[in-house]
Amino acid sequence: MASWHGHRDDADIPEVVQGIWKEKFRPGSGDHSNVDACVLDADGKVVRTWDAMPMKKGGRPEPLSGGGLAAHWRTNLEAARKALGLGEAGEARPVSLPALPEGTHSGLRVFTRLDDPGMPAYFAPIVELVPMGADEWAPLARPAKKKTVDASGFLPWLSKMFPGGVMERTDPVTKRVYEVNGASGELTFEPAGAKFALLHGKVTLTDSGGGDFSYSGELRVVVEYKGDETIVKGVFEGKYPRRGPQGGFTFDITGVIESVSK
Amino acid sequence: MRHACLLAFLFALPAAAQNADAKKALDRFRELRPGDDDLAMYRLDWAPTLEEARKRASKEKRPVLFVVIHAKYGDMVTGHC
Repeated sequence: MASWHGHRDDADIPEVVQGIWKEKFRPGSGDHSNVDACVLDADGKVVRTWDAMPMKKGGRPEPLSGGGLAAHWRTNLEAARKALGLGEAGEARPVSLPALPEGTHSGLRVFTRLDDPGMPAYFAPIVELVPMGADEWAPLARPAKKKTVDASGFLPWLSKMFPGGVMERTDPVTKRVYEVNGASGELTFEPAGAKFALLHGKVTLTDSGGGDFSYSGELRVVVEYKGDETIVKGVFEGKYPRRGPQGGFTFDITGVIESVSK
Repeated sequence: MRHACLLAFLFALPAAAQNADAKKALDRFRELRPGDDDLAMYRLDWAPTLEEARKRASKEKRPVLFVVIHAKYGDMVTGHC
């Protein structure tokens, strides 16, 4: 599976996209959304294209909830399978989360979800993996006693606590997504048993878009020290402000953090 | 003896409270950690570009599902559309 995005006046539009858009924007072609899907065979030939959103008369898409969207995709994927000469779909592939890159041995995996009831797709977690070396693990070393630490020390992985699909946090000129580049807050880091420690407190995150944008939440991370291994299990529960074409709202943002190792 | 027990209890109490907070955090982690049903998007075999997808499709004799977004914010790799 692959994706592409752009405008009709962009340079270097792939030939497949040119073909889709020639039909899509043909006068009289009817109402359409801004997302299309197509299936290509192993030789690169297009066997089926469809508008990603089922459209009602008058140019408005069908509601995202209610199963209509899933049914629309099932119908088109089944037709594509038939066009490819494929039989019934087999078992689903297993879940394959982002893995540690070659040459790295451990890291933190961050799952982030935005509970925006107007955009059900945002409930699907975005998963990021942060390889961690000695410098990144050092702030999580077992505290001998209760202490206060600054949230900025954990920016390498706190910076991944962003919700996907949030259009307004993108540079309008470069089209690049703003990066979370600031973490602040006084956190408590304290022993929690013979081999455990608890890191907790309020964290405020800011991104490269600047202005007065920020979002905050409560971070709670349990660190277990098991020989040479540091095992991390944590949660971040906060509020995320959206100010976009749909208006101004605040939604729950949830992050889950876990360690991974080879 | 009673004195020693009381002292032991008093020293143990803060550690127990800390453990209770840690246990609450772990319970919440287990509640919120996404399961396979939540992570269905990660069952898909993503390629970073159409070119990469077509190379793999030709080599592995597999079709490609290609999503085209007419927008300036449509980078699905970062979860935007």
